[in-house]
Amino acid sequence: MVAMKGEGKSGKSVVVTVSDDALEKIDSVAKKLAAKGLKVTQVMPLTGVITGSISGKGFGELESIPGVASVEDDLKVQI
Amino acid sequence: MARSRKKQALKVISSNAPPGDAGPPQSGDGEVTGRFVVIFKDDAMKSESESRRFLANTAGLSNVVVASDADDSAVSSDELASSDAVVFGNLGIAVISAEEAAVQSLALSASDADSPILVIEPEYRAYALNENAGLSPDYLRGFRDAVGHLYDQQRGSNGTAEMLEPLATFTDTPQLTWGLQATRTHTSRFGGKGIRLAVLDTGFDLRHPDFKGRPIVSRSFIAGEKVQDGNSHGTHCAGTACGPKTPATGVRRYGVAHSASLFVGKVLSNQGSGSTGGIVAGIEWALRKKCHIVSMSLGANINQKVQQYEVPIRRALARGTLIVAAAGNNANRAAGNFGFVGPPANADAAFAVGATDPAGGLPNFTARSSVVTGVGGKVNIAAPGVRVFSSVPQIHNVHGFMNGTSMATPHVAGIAALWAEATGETGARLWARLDQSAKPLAAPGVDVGAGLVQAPQ
Repeated sequence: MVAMKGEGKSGKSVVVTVSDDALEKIDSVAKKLAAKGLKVTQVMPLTGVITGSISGKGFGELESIPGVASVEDDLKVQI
Repeated sequence: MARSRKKQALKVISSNAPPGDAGPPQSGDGEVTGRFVVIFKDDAMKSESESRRFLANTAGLSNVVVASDADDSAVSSDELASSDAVVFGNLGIAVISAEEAAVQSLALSASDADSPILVIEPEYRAYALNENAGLSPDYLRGFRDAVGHLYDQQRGSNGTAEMLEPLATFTDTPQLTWGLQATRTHTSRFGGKGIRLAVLDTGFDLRHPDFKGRPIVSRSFIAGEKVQDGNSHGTHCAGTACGPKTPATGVRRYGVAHSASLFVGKVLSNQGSGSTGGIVAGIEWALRKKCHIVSMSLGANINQKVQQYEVPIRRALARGTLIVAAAGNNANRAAGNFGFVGPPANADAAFAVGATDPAGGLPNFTARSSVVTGVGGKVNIAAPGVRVFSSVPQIHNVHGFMNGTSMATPHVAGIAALWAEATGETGARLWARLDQSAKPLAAPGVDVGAGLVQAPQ
């Protein structure tokens, strides 16, 4: 897992990847993530990635949702 | 026990082949030891003692060593020499040192369909290919290269011969950047026509005079910032990937895929930073636009794998979109620090690009393959990344020089577009094409991968 980043006002940004077998129902995975407290920003069906923000304590619960392959802190990149 | 055995004197029969087809075992060029290896069928022998009984009953072998009798299951060559056979229960094999008559008995048994023996083969002598065994890999490689060189000389200057010539030092001319010359882009018949290439970076100067009249599809994924490049990096990278064949401003040619369709995704802010959310959104957008190639001159300086790039980039490649990514500039070679390939270039499915200088050497900053992040940690290929001339926004003087694996990456993306046009290949096949056609460099493979990227002619 990527080193934790500071938490902003709206929680920290996370990147969720969806497993291959759940790709076609990514919208329902996103709904389940939202029900566990993820404020969903984007649902991307081709890459199978969902982004959003969440308060620190809800982070671990997201990984147990069926169809979720990984949950990581959004990584900062640069040129 | 005295032994006299003739090499290949024995007719060995495999039970899974008709007797008529079962000729003597072929030793090829291998050196045989004189012993034979009996391979039992899977699960034919329940225990080593069962194997021992079988060898005694079938071939009259009394002096059979069982591997588990020996210390730590390792059998010394002394034991092999002094026994009739050694049974390796875990492997389901026995090595037979007995007289030829005994081996003949086993061979006869093997011809029976009910026999527990799968096959009997001569034992070959094996050599470790390490430095201590005489013929080291380096020696063999040198030998191979020398023979290859002689072969190429015999063939004349066509074919692969010129690949072995030392790389010349290139310089910019009034017509061409050194990078286009070194990659043989300037003599390519192709311009990337019909190929869609996305550059995900700090945006683009949409009013740049060299791109006047060129259709560009663009979108910003940075909140509160337009596509218009307030940095320079994005305009420079897009210029290298897709700049015109004859720049309207009269400067030398600097762009590779002059006829490709350019897609610009702004995923880095004008300050030059971004986050996965925006970058994956850019990849998703490129996939939706059916881009064949995505160029990403960006990265994070962590020597670890992250799923947030691993997964989407794998899916992109599976859909036929090749993602070309900068290996990174985190080395300081002069200080003995070779750096590492970080995300997103360390994703297994990302084509990671290192930088070379005009002499085919390594600039101080170019990152080396990582040995801790698996397959994806490799530098796959190299391209010009020093003193690279390209477009920059008009407010920053229209053109300029930059250094970095960021500059090498769009060379590869652009040349990938030329290959895609030339061959019709995309995705993993395009990857293989770039790899296969790269020009070997004297620099280590951990730094330059397959070598210097080359354009199709």
